Amino acid sequence: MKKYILVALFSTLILGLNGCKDYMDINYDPNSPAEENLTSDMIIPGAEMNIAATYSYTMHILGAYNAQYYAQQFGTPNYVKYSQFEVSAENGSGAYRQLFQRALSNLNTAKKKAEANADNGVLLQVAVLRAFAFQLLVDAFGEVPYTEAFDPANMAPKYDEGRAIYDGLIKELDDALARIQGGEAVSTSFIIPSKSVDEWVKFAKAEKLKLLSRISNVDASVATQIQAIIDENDLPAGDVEIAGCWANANGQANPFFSEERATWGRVTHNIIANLALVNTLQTDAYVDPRLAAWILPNKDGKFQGSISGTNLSTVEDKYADAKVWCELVLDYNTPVILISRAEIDFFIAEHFARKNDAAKAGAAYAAAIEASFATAGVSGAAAHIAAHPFNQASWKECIGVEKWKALAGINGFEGFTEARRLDFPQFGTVKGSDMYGGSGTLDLSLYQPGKLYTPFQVFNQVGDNHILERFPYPEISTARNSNAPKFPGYLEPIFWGK
Amino acid sequence: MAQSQIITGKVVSAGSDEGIPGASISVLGTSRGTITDYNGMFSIDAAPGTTLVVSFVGMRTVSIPARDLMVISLEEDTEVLDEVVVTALGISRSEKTLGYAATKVEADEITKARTTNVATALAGKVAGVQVQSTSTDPGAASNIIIRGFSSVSGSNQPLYVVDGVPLQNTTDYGHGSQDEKATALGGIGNVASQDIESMTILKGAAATALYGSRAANGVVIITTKQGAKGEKRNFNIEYNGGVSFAQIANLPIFQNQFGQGWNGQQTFIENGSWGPALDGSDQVYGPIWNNQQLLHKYSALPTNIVDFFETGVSHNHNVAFSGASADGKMTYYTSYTFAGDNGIMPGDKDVFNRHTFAFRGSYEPTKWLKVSSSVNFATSKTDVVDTYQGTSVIDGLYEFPRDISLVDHADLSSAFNTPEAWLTPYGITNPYWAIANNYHHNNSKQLYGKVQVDAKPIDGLTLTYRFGFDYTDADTKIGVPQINLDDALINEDYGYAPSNLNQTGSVYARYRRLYELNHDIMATYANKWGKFDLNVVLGVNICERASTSLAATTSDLTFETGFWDLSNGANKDDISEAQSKRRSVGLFGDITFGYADQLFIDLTARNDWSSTLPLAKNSYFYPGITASWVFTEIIPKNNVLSFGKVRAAYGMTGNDASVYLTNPTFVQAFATTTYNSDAILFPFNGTNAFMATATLGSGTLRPEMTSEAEFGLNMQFFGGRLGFDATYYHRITKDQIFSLPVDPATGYNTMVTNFGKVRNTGFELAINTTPVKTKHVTWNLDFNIARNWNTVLELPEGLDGGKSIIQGFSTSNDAVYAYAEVGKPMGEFYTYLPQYTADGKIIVGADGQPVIGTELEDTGKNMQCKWTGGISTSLSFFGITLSATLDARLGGYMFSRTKNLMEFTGNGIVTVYNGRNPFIVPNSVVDNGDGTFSENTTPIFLYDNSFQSFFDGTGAGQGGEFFLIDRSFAKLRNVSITWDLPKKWMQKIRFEGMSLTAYVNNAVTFTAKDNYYIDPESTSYAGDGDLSAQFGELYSNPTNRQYGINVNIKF
Repeated sequence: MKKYILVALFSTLILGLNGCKDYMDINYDPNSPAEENLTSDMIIPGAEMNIAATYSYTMHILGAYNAQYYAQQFGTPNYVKYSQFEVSAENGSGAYRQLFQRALSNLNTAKKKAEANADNGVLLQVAVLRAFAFQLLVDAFGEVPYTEAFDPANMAPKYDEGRAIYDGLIKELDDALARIQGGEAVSTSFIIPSKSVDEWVKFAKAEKLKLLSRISNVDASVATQIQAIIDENDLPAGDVEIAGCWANANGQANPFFSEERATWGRVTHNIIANLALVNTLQTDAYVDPRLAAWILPNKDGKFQGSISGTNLSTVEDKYADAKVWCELVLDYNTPVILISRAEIDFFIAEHFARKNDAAKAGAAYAAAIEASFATAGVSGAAAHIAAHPFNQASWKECIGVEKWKALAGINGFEGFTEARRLDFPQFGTVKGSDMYGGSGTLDLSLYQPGKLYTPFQVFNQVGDNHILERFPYPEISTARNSNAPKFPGYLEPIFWGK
Repeated sequence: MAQSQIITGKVVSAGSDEGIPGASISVLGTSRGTITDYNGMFSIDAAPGTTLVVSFVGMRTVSIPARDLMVISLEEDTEVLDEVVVTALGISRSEKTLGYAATKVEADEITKARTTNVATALAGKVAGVQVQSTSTDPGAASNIIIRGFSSVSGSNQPLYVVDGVPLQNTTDYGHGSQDEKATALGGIGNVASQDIESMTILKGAAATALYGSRAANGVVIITTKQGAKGEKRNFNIEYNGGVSFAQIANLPIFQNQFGQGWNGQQTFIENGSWGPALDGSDQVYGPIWNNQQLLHKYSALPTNIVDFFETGVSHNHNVAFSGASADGKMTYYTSYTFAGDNGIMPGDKDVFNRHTFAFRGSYEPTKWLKVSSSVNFATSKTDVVDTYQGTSVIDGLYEFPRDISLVDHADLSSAFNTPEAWLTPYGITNPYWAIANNYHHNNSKQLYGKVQVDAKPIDGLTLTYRFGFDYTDADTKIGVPQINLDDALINEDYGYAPSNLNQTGSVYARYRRLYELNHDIMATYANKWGKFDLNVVLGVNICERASTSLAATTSDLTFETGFWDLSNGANKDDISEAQSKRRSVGLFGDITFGYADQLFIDLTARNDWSSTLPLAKNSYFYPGITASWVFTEIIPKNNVLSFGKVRAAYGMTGNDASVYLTNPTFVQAFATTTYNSDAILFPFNGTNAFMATATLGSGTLRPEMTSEAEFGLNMQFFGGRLGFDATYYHRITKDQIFSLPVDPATGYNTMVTNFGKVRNTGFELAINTTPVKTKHVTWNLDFNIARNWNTVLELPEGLDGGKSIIQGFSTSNDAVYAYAEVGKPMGEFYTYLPQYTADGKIIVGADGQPVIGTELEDTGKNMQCKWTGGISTSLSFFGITLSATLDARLGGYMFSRTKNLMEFTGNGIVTVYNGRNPFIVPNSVVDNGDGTFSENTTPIFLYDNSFQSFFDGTGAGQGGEFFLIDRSFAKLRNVSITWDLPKKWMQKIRFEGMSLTAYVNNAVTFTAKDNYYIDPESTSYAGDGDLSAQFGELYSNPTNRQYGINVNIKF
């Protein structure tokens, strides 16, 4: 009897303990899907949109002010610092976090799943998006963690040299392209809604061309690889863009529009066209038709650019009115262009110019301008090319200035990056402080078309006749990572600009 | 049993026939009891010969056989401190047996403070306890911090326990803005102060071991009033109520020399006062609307902002009915309390209303069984006036030019007083319009209480089962009006159209349910053998806490304002839900040995199992030991040293994690841009997506452990006329569970980890004096002071520079961060600072402006205060009591966005630097770029915006440090005068007693001399008592001062 009691007691105890274990096993967030149930279809669209928001807003604005496409609206404060060429360690933190934590980290999850299933189409998608995002990071900050990134066991990932990251990305793209036979399935995407792996191959090659072309500025040996891409003739026919999916509603619209215009958010109306952009594209004799596609006319129906480095708050009365200045053409469904056909053709033109093949360079140069006009939806490319013909002797200036113009309507960060790399447009002799006395008078006629100029007030650490060569390492990294290097200074070029 | 009858008598103090009012009389062996009236008279239902126990604070308790018309004389007790305190799990203990600090605050001290939130009433009363009211807005939550901060990221709030039942903290932090204005929706905020008998604060780890993890930051034990017989009858009826009026107390100090404009020029639509010097001329201002423009005198209106506020009115009423059955076996206490508060904002948009019903009863059917219950229901409604930037009231006020009358803009039927033609279109609007059209309403209902059964199967052994519950449901709705201007009637907008302010409007709704269930099963055994005492408690606690919420946002409103319903939006922006549930099981024991009423040793131990830790390692054990010795027991009785006790304690407290930190989690995807956290929302264009949360969970979490050693000395002299209680403590918290901010290149923004080691060392000293005590006059004067040294001892390796961010505020122009850094107190402020040459000259650029560095630097300033203390005093004479409480805090800094705004708008006094005349930054040099420096000769001018840039861009040459202000203060929290009306008068109108009180709360605040900006208690980071709540404020609403009267009537 005693034995039975003991057994019964013992069983109760065991049952009780097991019950206790079940009772405690509740620490699973009911609001989170389980990782094993996620598919790349559920991950890639989110990662794409994080890249798109960073590229088309945060980086775009930073670039567009520093490339003198944009100026600060009369009397408003938000981006005056940017227009003075001042970018702080804080300014890059949001983009850095968004790219690493929301885009690249999730792409890694998709990659792991795709590797497990030998899902080569998805692996190509991941490689292209990774290359695009990492290139953006290198072009902004010069160096970022790459080989030691995404390892939760390592809280202090080392920064890799920009060139090493570029090389790594090219290899990733090559490896992913090598696995494609044709017809592979790919995940849902807003960039390539058709789910065609062929389109992803084209995008991959365009991205590779963009990486190689940047390197070509400092390393001629990549020319053969560029030639190979051109020879394959398998590049996107038009712009690689996110279009047609935007809606005029909170969280559904072009991110730049949401920030600058949309009435469900903070309405800012901060941004106006810069004098450099407007007066380079319009002269007494000729108005570039693209201007009207990118810039809204002012209250008098004219294009009027403002100057960098001030919000003109002390300007004389005739200019002291927001309606004197020109806001941007921007709508909820303005496409987010990741790589335009014009950029591709400019890279090709640059390649042949470097090879001293003036004929092919000139043809690609013309094709680039035509593509830019096509993206802007305007005609008149032929006349423009005639007025601005390609000249092999001054190829860098021709391509540099025309590319700077074209990118004004595509992406400000890319325009800023190429201006840093090609060193065109260059600074003229007139400064912002020559045009604006600060006490009231404004003489915009002094501006020299095709040139940049020192802002009215310029960031002390940049000084006269310079644009920023890089942004400071983001505070969100340097304050948390003991291996973050010391900032080399605003005038230290990215590796491709040395 | 002898026939019971009503016995009357009188309690007097020995050697006189002066009656002692308020002495308590109980019949031994029963729960029957009463207290003496104003003249010391009492009557009680007791059989002659049964033993009556008569006691009064400060007097020796006597036991005496009952007889009618008896006179009982009490002698002054030299062992005054044998007070009974309620300790862990609702167990009553004699204070002298405790080996740790437990401070009791009596009912009258709580009600005296007349604060709607009970927590606030503790301010300045207990050594080592910091009470921070997050604001004086109606319904605002309060934070209590005991013995400094231990937890870097979790709550540092104590656990609130009402009659043995833990309460949840339920707080609304608003939605969608950085401002975490905290509104209490449940928990301590719903307890009516008039229902409280006493509060006991347990401070040390040794004291709190029995409550488990949640007590790691101390425990506030609230004992509510229970039913007892009245003087001449079985019941009492009491009314307590009053009304108070609130006035604005703290506003930034504004300049009164310059008016609307920018760069020294008159700009008719500017939001600030950077204009020309005020000259009294007639000037137009604002846009031209419908061919009309406003006209005013361009002269200072020093009170234009103060005049906006109105007198707030609050009132509270409490009716309590209590008593006991004739046989004393049943007691009951029931009360209703109303507290209503309409704050200082115009109209009725800052309002708090709370109704509380309480019922407590006990029944003792037989000697060995008692059943008791407590049921409390509270319902509260709060209308909140939100702060921070945009179309908030406060931003509209603080950016309002110094030369324009605001009260003249109250009429919202005029277009000039609405966004349509408001005097500035730069993102802010008329505060009157903001009040009328913004909506933030909270509605909460809370039901809490217990059912308890106590059985005494054998002598000395009590078995207890207690079921405690707390259920709260809390609804929040926030409405943002649509602004849809077409500028059709604007003839001249001076360059910036009012329609730039357009917003589609939104409605946000959130419904929350929270519950907590506790089962406590306990066995208590007490016995005495000769000089030896034994007290044993063994028990188990099973606790489950859960919450559910559903939230939705809609935008693009159809009805511009006032219809705050989700159906009002053309867009459905967001629907989200959140659930959480956690469980814990605790097994605990407590053994106290006593010897000869002078030496006590107490051993405690607890083992917890928690669902929030990794399943295989969810168990943790923590013991404690305390000892106390009443050394005056061995010295001869004397008139000088009346009582002396030394005590020592060592204890540990384990703590578990928040829910769901042990596994990776995913959320619906989104993307953000600089100012728009909703830039991209999924589902997007019909496609859904997920992404990993920003925080990486950890499958290897360990519980965090706090160990604390404490030593104390308590001595009373001259029969309690002078005494002190001193405590030294040393607390180490290690393995904190922390979401560590990491480089996003790791793939995450934060990682959950066990984190470092933090030490709190400090002392607390409470001094009580009674300088005057005569027959008719008593003057008490009490002091308390505490100093806490907080040091971060260790942080994980791999952190940059051995530090980790706690809280920060950054805009594109400036940033201030508070760090935990090894070797420093938690909360070291870092920011971007100006650069200096080796010989201390400030380096400026070619533009004459200080060059601000690009790396974060230590300011040497810290969030944490150094000293806390309080003085309370009361003077009683002939039924009149005057009392006052002062609360002071010294040291520590806070971030003030209000200061930032004051310099940005040119409204703050600091912006009249040098009369706004051109100046060269003093002691400044220009870097020649070759290692040499030359004298700076470039002036800063008002006309070219460099004056404003100097303030806004370089923090007046101080960088981000400019926005840190000294948070030291001394506050006269409460001054009151109470008159107990003579009994004789009362009897004529059939009242048992009546008292009248007049008081001023938050009477005077003394701040640091450079704080022209804000009440240093304000916080916009209220996160449930987190350390981050100390960070600072983002345009907090100004605080107020209350004048009130109160009446207490016993029928």
